[in-house]
Amino acid sequence: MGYCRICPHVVALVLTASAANAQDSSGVTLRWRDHPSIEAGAMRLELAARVESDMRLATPSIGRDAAELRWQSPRVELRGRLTRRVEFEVSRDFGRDAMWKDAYVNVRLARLLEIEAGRFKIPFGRETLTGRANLDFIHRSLGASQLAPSRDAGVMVHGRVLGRRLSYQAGYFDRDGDNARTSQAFGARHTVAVRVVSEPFRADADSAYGRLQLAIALAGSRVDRRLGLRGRTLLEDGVFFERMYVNGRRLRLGLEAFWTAGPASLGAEYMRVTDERNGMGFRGDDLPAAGAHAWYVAGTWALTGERKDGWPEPRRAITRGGTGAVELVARIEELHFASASHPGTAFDFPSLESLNSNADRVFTAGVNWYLTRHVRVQYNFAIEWVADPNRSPAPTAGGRFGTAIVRLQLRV
Amino acid sequence: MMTRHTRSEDVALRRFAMCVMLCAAAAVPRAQTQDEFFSADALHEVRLTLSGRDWQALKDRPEDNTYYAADLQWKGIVLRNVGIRSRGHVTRNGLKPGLRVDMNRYLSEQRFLGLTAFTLDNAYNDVSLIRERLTMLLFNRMGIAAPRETHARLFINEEYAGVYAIIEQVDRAFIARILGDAEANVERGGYLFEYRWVRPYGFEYLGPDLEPYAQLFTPQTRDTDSMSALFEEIEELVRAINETPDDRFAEAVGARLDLPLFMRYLAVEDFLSETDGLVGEWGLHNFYLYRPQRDERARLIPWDKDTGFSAVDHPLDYHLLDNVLTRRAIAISELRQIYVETLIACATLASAREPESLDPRGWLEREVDRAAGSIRAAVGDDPVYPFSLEQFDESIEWLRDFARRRPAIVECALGANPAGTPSACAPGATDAREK
Repeated sequence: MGYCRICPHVVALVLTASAANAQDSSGVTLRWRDHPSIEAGAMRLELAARVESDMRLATPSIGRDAAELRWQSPRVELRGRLTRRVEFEVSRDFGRDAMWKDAYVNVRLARLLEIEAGRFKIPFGRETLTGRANLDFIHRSLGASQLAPSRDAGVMVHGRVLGRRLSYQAGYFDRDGDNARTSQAFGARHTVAVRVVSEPFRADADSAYGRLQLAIALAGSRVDRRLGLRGRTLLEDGVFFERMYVNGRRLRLGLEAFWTAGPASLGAEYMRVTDERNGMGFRGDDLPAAGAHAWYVAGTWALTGERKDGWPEPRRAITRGGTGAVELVARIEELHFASASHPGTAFDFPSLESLNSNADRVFTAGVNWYLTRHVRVQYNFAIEWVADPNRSPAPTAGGRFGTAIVRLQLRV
Repeated sequence: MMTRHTRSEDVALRRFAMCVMLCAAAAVPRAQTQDEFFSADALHEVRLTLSGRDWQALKDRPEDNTYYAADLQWKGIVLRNVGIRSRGHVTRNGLKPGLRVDMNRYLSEQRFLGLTAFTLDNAYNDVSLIRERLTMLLFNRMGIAAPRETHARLFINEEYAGVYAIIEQVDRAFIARILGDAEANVERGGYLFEYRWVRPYGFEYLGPDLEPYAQLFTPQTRDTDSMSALFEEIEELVRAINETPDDRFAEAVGARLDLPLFMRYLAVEDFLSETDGLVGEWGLHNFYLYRPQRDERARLIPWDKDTGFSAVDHPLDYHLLDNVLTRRAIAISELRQIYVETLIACATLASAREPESLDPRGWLEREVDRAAGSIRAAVGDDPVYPFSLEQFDESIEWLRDFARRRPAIVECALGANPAGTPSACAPGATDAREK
């Protein structure tokens, strides 16, 4: 068990972590605040790591009669700055699901123009673009994990103007992200994505709307007679809408709104995907496009008063005799696949049932307990309802089931 | 502070540890395999638990393909929320429903010994209940990939529901087993079609439109792919079968269909006197067509073979000329030779005695006895078996007689006239069909 071998070291690192700062005579500075880092002139290297363990409680209605403990793949990140203008990041998951995550270089030509190249997240979807350690929920929303593209290899220009009131990202990517493919499904190619983020009241940071963020994103790709997207339940127990072959242009549209005020935050996203099915009929005629959309509204509130900014730093960490920071979270969401038509249904393939529209609606409530700035315990309870019970993991419960999960997350 | 154990405490501790390990080992069920599930060495017990209301609904409407959630149990393995539905064509009924069991109908990652589905066949029209099992066994022994099959007592909600044949589903898992994982790839694997009988048909060309082929060949994989990807190659195959000149037939058709395999398939069916197969009473029936990803040549996979062993003197040319493909293929000497050799191989295997044994029975008769012996007691207890135990015994005796006599009849017929009728080789056996 690779996880167990490294866990004691990670725990030891976390428990002994404290602000450290040392500089030797050669001008090399070693620091340890959130992460260990080393600086020499303009060069800086940071090492970060994350280990998680999930305890999923029993859910008899979907056939899980016993709780299940699972170590998530630990992640190690190396990031930093090579010169004043060149930054980089490399990260990799180890263990059972070993894979490279980010691997890119970013060149800062000006605030208005930076160029990023390598493998990184396609600019689409606020929650998808948020790192896992800063997520408010154990699992990303259905749209963020299934409709948004996530990482791929490409090149992107980005920058900000008007004193950060407007920022943009625009890039070209070889394919359309990890979320769109599996070990057996290729996904789309040639993705062009643009995202524009506005903070219209940023100049007045003290106002109630000072930290309001609005964004719009568009992404277009090509799918050449490949399988399209499918609908899976929150923890991927069931498939409520099977993927079908599509052919032509894939278009994604995303809208985002996010607002924080002191210890509270409120966020919402809407996204939709349409896949063309050109030339797929009996006489080479086009079939109607396949489509799906998703939305969520989520809120958080730190009971202990910490200002909302990703993983908040507890005012009174338990290592200093306090109780840590406690945050309540709630989210309501939906992922909906529209009905699709297929000429084969006249001959009983595929079944009409499998093409009918279906949706998964989820309400998640939970508590985040930040023991220190390195240790977090999350508890989420999700009530999930699949519109067509016969295409859900809980057919005998009307497609409705609840899932409770506890996550211990350590990061350095 | 360290604790010092006495020697007796150490021994007791070791014994306790050993006990814990043994208990743990006993509690963990031994890993089972597909081979064990389809093993013919014993009669299996399969248990399904579902709501009584759902079971009644399934029996009340056997013509529906509605799925119901059930728990599956076999030899200590329990799967929750598998999907079951009624299945079959003429054998569909509400008294003893044939069932399809889908592991991943509701839970997408759920597998049973690596299987995504299997069939519980009621074999409702087969008095012996074992015709299909014997037929698939011979296909497999002749090197033609066919579903594995055995028998089980089925319990529904702990009540004995009768003897069923467990049949391996012809699906991606089956394709992966016989042709490798690449062929079973969800997106880029081959095309698997189930032939659907709608009218007597024998590979006549139906024209360039693809709809008539879609009516006959139902995609089981890649079923949402474009119509041209699914059916153009079938249309081209049928056109080649019908329109290619004789001198180019083997080359043109052989580029699209594995003709040697097809001839062996035909020979096995003919040896077993199958009347509802390629050249049965009602045209093509009961097979899957698989077009591999890496090979343009399609191949046939047998399915639903419960009408074999129909007549010990079944003519080898029975309906052979009514099917365009068999008529043209048998006229080619190389292909005819494969057909004849396979028939002889079937006869040789069927009559092969056990080495160094005094047992006079040939292989096929021994298999008849083995299969019948394993299910006879369960048939006697079967509350919904539509025949009497005497009829079962008579039917088994029929199969034994077929197994004893058919090899010699086929060899005789081939010796006299490779494409002739074996009736001359079986005096008194003409029209000897099971009643």
